[in-house]
Amino acid sequence: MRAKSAWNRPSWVLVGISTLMLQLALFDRQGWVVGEWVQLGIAVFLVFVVHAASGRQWERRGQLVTAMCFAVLIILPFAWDAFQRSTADWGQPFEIQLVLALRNMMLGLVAQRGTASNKAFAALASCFLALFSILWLMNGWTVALLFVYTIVGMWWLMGVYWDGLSSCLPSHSERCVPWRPIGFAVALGGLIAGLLLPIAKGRQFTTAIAGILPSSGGTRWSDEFAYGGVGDGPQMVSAKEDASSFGPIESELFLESKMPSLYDCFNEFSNPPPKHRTKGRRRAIPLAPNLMKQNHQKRGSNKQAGREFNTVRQRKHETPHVADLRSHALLQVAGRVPVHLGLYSYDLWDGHRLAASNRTPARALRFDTSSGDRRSWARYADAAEDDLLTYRDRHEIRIINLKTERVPSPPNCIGVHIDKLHTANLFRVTQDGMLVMEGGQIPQLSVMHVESLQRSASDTPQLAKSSSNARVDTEDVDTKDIDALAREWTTGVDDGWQKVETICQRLRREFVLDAEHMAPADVDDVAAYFLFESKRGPDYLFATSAALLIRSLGYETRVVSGFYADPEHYDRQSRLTPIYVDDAHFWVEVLAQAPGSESSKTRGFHWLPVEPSPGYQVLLAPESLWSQWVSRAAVTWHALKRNPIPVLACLAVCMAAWVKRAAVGDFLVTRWWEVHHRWGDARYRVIATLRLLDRRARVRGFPRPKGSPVERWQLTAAAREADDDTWSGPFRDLANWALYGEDAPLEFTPHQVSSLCRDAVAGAFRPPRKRSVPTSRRFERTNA
Amino acid sequence: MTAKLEESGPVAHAGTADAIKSLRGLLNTAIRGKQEVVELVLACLLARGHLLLEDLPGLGKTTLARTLANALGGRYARVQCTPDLMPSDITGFNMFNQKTREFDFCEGPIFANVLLADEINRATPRTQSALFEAMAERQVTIDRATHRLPQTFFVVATQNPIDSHGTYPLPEAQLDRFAMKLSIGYPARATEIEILARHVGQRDQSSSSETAISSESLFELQEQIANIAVAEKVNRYLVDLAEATRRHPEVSIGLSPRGLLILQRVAQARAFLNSRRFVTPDDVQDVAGPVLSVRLAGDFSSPDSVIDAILADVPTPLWD
Repeated sequence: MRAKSAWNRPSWVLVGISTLMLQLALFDRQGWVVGEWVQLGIAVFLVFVVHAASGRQWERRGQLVTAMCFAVLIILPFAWDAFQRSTADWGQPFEIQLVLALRNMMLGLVAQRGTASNKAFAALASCFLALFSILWLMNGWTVALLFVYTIVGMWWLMGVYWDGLSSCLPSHSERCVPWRPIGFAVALGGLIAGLLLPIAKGRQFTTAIAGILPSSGGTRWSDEFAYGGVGDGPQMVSAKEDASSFGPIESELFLESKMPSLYDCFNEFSNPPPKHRTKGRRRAIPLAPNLMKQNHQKRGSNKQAGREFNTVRQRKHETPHVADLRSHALLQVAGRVPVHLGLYSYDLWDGHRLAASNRTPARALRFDTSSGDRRSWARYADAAEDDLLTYRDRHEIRIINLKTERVPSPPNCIGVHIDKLHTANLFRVTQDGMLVMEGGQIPQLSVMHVESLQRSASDTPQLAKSSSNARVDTEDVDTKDIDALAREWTTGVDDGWQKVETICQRLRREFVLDAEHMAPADVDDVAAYFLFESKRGPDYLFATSAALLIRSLGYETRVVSGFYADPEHYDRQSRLTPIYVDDAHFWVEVLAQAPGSESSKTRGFHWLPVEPSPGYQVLLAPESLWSQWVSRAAVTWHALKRNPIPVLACLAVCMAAWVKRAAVGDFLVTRWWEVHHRWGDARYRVIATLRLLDRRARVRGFPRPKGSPVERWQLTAAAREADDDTWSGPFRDLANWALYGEDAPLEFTPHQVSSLCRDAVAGAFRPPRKRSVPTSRRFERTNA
Repeated sequence: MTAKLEESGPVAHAGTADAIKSLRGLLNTAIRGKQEVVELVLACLLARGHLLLEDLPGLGKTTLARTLANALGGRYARVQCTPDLMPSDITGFNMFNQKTREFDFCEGPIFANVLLADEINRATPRTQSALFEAMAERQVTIDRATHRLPQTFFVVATQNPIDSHGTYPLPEAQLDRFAMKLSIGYPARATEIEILARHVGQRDQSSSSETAISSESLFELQEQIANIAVAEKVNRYLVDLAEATRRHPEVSIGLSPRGLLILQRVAQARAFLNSRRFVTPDDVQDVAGPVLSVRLAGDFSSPDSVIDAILADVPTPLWD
């Protein structure tokens, strides 16, 4: 029995790890659902009941209670799901309910005492759940947990095998742990895991095994709460006969569409812009002519040269119809969010309108099939990581309801890929530096893969100074006030990126983002009106003002319009971020130069997005674990510094609790004993008292050796206590009866049992203090 | 452990409690200052075991055995074991009767309620083996005839551990038939002074001839003790102990199933003497030393350290 009980602990560990993996997978899929945690809490409570009922203290009732608990544990996920569907309109697919039932049963089995076969079944179930979870969610945490699970599982298997083997050996043989085979197995397992991990991280692995898992119907025809299963996802079929069969690219059924474009999105908000006289334009080009690369390749032409965006608009005030309230997504984005998806850039400003100069240096595209993912990419010829842009990111964009030829691409996009498309000629670069798909609009439901480069948050970019002839001021636009404001805001701030950040932070902090507040049509300079008078307005005024302010300091800027993939819209179930009409957005990009690229005239210049609008964030390279800890520590430190009094009060309370931890712990445990020891019969009460005394003795430094009977140990420990005579009284006989007198009659009345237990708790192994006089001496043993 | 049967607890009837009290008193008078040894002797007797006393000469082994034999009543026999002692000298033999022209069986000293085998290791193994059947089955088979021994047949054997000249170590089969092996040890200084004082004026050392309990009462007590309850977890603990003795690297012969039964029975007797209706692990540990020391064999000088290690290593059952 000793050998069997020794392997109970690894069983607990296996069950614990698999449960944690399952909960992580559930949390990743469905987020924070209170009902699920309540269900888990009920299951854990029942598991504790099973653990208690399988002991001896409940005697024959234990079997009945255990059976009832198991029944409830298995039924609980189904009943709870039915309850949630009827009340909260939320539910789980059937396979998840099955998995939860298996989890509950596994916890119950491992909690039941005295049955080695149950532990084996629980370990088997934990293996299934661990595999299920890792197939469902494969990230760093689950992979690490699976690694630990594998090691513990091997240990457990070898232990069970060794136990079985030892029973066949002669009785006098020496039993020892096979360290050498275990070490070899662990090393081999680690080697295999190390070889498999890079493979497992690829998409092929999960895609290949996705079809093995059971599904409740990926198309949700049978269950509205079904998760994705076989038949949907990125590998969609062509729609040749029926549009509902979902064709992404090849289907001509979707090519003719009257879906809105980006401009239509902005026009939904406001009336058409008023006619306005054309003023002289304040022009700026991103790079000086001497920095422009002489490119003889085919250069993309903007079919809509002179495209403008008028910032003087009037908000529509129409009474929405009920049917209009439901907005369909224009795009769906898979990948890290928030991300800006640019469509148009502007570098000209005349006081009312943003326009593109179409003088961005031309960039060529090349066809690249050398990628490790076996995809054919259309990449920029000069696209590569450098010291500024260090992280290569990838997004998948599904065009749902957007009529455009421009590819919504993240900042510093370096390539685009469409499935089954093996040519780069389909794409070109416009004169304002954006990516365009030739041949009209991008087909609806196309899934486009875009790669981009991002900088690290810890790096400070080095900005490119504009050349002297990069700006062309006109007489009509007075920029003196804006220049003065920029200098005022950045006084004392280091040149470069700090000034850009200062301006953006000032705008975000002191100005109000108000989509309803439009500039009046009669102002000469809308940006000046926004900066000096209204101090509130839509995001394009933030972007325009920031661009002008930064530009006035001598740095190259441009305004970009497109979409903002809001992380608030992230759908955990589909793992996609839908982009709605409301997500049309303006932001600013600043030209920066990578360190070490000073000698190159073309390479190393990048447009970095900055966000002057409050509530918007810029996507940066993911931080390393160490950087995350450092930044969190810094945030915590600043929070502590801001609230010294509450922090000091908490510290004082914690220190006092630590100093008095024995007394505090004893107080809490004793109160709990007072509450729960009344529930059971006399034997249960006495054992609860013994458990309390056992804990107290352990805290007081008298831990019971495992080979010492409780009576002998208590007498020894009690002898060290000067005046503790608890164990020399009738409580000793009572304790022996509760522990070992299974069918022996009780020689005390219930009142005496309660009094003796109370006296023992009041006297034995208490932290030093004034104690009440035990009343146990008043009782004489009576014959039952 | 302080609660004794003389407290007239509910376990034993008043008559048997008095008998036990009287028996305990006689033994404590014969061997002064050795209450724990006396308790173990009583436990061995009540558990229907046989007792092996191993100690240096002059520590009271024979006195204790003789006092116990006298106190139990019934027939008492003593065999002084020597190398020329024959098995038939113990068991008896068939003698041809010239008058009846038949063989008459002459009972040996083994047909007694209490047999004192003094210096048992001086008898040859052949003679020692004559006790096998009697100790295990309480019967003797001679010339195809089986003769029953008294139900309370009790062997008290003594041996000297250091004087090895002309001795024959007891075989393992013989040792396994003893319930326990006890060493009396030197008395405390104050006890020795008291012994000296009490023997002033006495011409010789004489043991008490008072009978404390009859054979019938003893048999009833032994039946009663067999019904002392043993919880399942205590039984598991007993088996854990037995397995631990078999797995211990220094032990070549661990606890046999017969030894396990004896350990349980002695623990029952111990619980009875402690006025309890059920056995606790304390009872098991109290008697584990003398019960295991007689039957564990291996590469060790003294089994006490091995037994202590095993007792410390095997977890005792609690509320699990």
